[in-house]
Amino acid sequence: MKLEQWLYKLPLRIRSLFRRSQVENDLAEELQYHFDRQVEVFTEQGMSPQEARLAAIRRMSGLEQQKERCREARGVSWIEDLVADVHYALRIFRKAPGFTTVAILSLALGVGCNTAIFGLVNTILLRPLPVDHPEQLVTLSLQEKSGTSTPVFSYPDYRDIRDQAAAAFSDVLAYRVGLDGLSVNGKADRIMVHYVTGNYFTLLGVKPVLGRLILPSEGEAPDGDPVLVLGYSYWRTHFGGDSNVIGKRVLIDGHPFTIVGVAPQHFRSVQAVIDVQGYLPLGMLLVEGNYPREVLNSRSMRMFSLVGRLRPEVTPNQAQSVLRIVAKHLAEISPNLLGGMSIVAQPEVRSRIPLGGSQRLVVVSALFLGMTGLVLVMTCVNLANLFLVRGTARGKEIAMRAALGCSRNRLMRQLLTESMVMALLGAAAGIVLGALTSRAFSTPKVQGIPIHLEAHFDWRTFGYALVASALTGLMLGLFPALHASRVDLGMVSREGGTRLSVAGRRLRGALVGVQVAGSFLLLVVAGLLTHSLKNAEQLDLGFDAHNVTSFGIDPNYLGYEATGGGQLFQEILRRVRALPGVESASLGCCGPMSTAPLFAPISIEGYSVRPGEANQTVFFNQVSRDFFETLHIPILRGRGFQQSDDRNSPRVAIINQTMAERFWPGRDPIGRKFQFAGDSRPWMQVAGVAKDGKYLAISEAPQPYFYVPLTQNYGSSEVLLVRSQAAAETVIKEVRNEIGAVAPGLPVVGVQTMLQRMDESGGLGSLRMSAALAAALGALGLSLALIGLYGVVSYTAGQRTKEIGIRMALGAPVRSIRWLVLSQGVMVLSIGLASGIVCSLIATPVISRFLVGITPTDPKTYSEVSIALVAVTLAALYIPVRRATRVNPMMTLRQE
Amino acid sequence: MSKPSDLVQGTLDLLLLKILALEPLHGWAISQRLKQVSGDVLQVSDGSLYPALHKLEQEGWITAEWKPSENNRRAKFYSLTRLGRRQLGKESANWNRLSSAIAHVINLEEA
Repeated sequence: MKLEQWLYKLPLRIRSLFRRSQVENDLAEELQYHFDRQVEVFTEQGMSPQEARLAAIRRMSGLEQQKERCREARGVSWIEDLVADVHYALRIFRKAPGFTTVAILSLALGVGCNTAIFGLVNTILLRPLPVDHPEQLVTLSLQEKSGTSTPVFSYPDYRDIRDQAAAAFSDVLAYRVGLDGLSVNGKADRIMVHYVTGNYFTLLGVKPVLGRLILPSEGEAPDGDPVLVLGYSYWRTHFGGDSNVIGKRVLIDGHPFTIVGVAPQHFRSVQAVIDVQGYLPLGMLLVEGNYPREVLNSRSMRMFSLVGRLRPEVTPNQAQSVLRIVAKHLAEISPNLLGGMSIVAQPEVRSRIPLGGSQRLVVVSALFLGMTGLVLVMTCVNLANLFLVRGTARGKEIAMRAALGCSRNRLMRQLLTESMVMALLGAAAGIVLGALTSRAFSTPKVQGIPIHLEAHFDWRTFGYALVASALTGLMLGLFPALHASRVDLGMVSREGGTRLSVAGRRLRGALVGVQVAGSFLLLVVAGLLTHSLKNAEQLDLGFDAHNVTSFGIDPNYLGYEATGGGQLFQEILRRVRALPGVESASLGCCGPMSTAPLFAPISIEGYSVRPGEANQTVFFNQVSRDFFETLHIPILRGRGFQQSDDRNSPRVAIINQTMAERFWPGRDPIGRKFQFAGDSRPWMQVAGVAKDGKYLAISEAPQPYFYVPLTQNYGSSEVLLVRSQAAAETVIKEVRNEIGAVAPGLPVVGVQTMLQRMDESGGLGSLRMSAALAAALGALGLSLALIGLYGVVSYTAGQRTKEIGIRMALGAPVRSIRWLVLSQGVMVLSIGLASGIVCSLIATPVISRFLVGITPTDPKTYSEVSIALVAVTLAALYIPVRRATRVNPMMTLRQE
Repeated sequence: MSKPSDLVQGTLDLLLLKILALEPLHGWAISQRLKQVSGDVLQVSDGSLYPALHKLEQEGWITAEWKPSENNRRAKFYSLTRLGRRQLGKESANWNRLSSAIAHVINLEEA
């Protein structure tokens, strides 16, 4: 039945769509025939030809109206209408190039900044990895009873999970991130690598672009398979994309390796935003030198990240129950380490937030998406305002069309089509703009770690831009359409029919009020961030960042063992201290604001943890004797490290104030003992208390921290800190020379002044960028609101010119005229301001975690922004007010 | 919008289908026939006729073809399709059910 009906319908529809003129002719002829016959009948009844024609038209309720109704009855008319409307809209836009350019440009800005921000969020948080069935990948983590989770496992735990959870996972891989020295033909470079299990690439379903990848048989045996797979972009940039690299002999941390293959272009490791430069079998981890040989056998050494592939038929819940059984079994094997722990599987996409589980990235993304969204809304409001005024100016045209039989529905559709076309044009320009902007921040390097943030313009980004534009179009068109469709047919014949109705004026006022509120919110956010930035710059960091330069070195990259490495460090320090201008030089595992800090669970003498409770994890540093002097960190109690604290003397540590208060509240911490959890060496004794400082980020809260001497705890990856009166460039050049002289070919990485470092990884830079971005968005919002307010007030004043003329002629003082015009603007301003304050009070607590030394409801910021907003607004209203007071009563009255 | 204000909703379709079931006709002839068969009881305005015809054509119930008319001018003749005949059967049945139900209600003896 349905099919048969379509056999009839389809040709008709096609005909009405594509042979429009013929259909139209047919319709005209058919109605004409009827009309002529009717006229004949009426004439025979004795009417004059003139009368007969009029009567016939009345009888048929109008020929054109008939036609329109027939078109509607045909049902395809909406497609025809759409095509016609689009044509019409384009013609109208061409006729008003100024209006069109302004509208499209502002839409492009609105959609563009949204698309750019969304593109980033997409890459970081949404886009699946470019591997087989990425939706099946889950990241595993260990969760304590208290809820804290660590995303790392020991190797024996990994093997047990992989074997025992096979019912839920087709395979599980493990990897460990490393930074290693790669020497090719005597030249060394630091690269970021993944040490991977043999099933890494097979599990992900990644194929090599050249040679082969790590094989499933590789990686299990320590030191067994010295092969290297290069990351695609590293191969392109450092080997020129040369296919002869296969089989090439290179050194990694001084150990011979053979390059066997290159990973494909779009695969940048199982970590979404890190562009890994090389892949090595997991068993080769020992080349890094600082791992004990039992690293692959000990359950206490948790350092491997696990990614599993769910079997297609297994639901996450089923997987979770399998993992529960595995965790129970593991707890039986090793009650001390794994008692009470559970294993949690999380979809890979949702576990991308970096270690520590802070939701910072999500909140930042949401904040800026929200702010750009608000700017887009304000752009729309402005354009809607423009459209509204234009709609009024076009009142006559619209009334004419209505009089000619255009239905109200049809009129609204036409106006909506116009705004949609406008929105789509703007969106197209916006997407281009967004793509260009996002390229600017696609591949930053944070302390030499290759981050990959390229904003891919996939269907998500396009979808987002498209939805944003469609909503824009709807917002643009809806008010004017609703407004214009309430047309008054009398307008056709009346003169000067371009006045906005009272309802229209109120609507415009409300729209501008929304803009004022929106810009207030944006400005408050900008103000809070700017104050935070200022506070952060003057913050007591607990050390002096000026005149200090840092150099990352790792003798292990050239194969030095602990003894040789220690001697090398001493030699470098001796030479650097002798340089002119150098006041002090020292080593630390990591300087302040490091992206790779050391942290470990510790146990305190006289305190044992209950089962299911974990040892407290504390950040620490391995430093040379002069570290406190170089960074000007005051020792408040006890002593600093001394020459006598060497390998043979009792083990010592220096703790910070917070650690002293946390673990030995109200007692003298000097002489107390603690230890790395599970360490079999003698206890470490607290020798001194250092002042609290900022260790990882500027906005962090005070946290426990301790220092151990490098002489008693060797680590090969160190940062050389040099305090010098000489210019930074000179220091960098001379220190590089000295290092090169002592250890030729040793890569020196992460070279930067401490101030740069505060910016880059301390969060000062991102705070500065956020403040600038927020200020830019705030300024954009403010100017949109000003344009809107100015437009409304000057429009109304223009409409009331005659009234003002009469008032003046009757002797009204200038003051009252001024107030007449101003009052409307002041009204809108105060309502907008009030709602802006309320919105801000509700919304700003979201960003409290990024604020330094200021509350999100800081009254000072609020009043500053209010005053600024009022001042700027009044300045903008000066022009229409002035114009109104200059009205010449005689001239206006004479125009009547 | 194309509903006649003076006819029960949907009735015009039924009338048109019925008239066309007898013989193919053009619009003018249909309007005359409507007046003729229903006397003055059913006032079908000419304004409703053509939209209704076009709708029926779109539904596939009637089909049109251009043929010379009785006054030797080209006119658009509508005729019933197989689908239309089925539809007519359905709608007449509906109508009969409805009208007899209403007649039944109206003829109820007041107690």
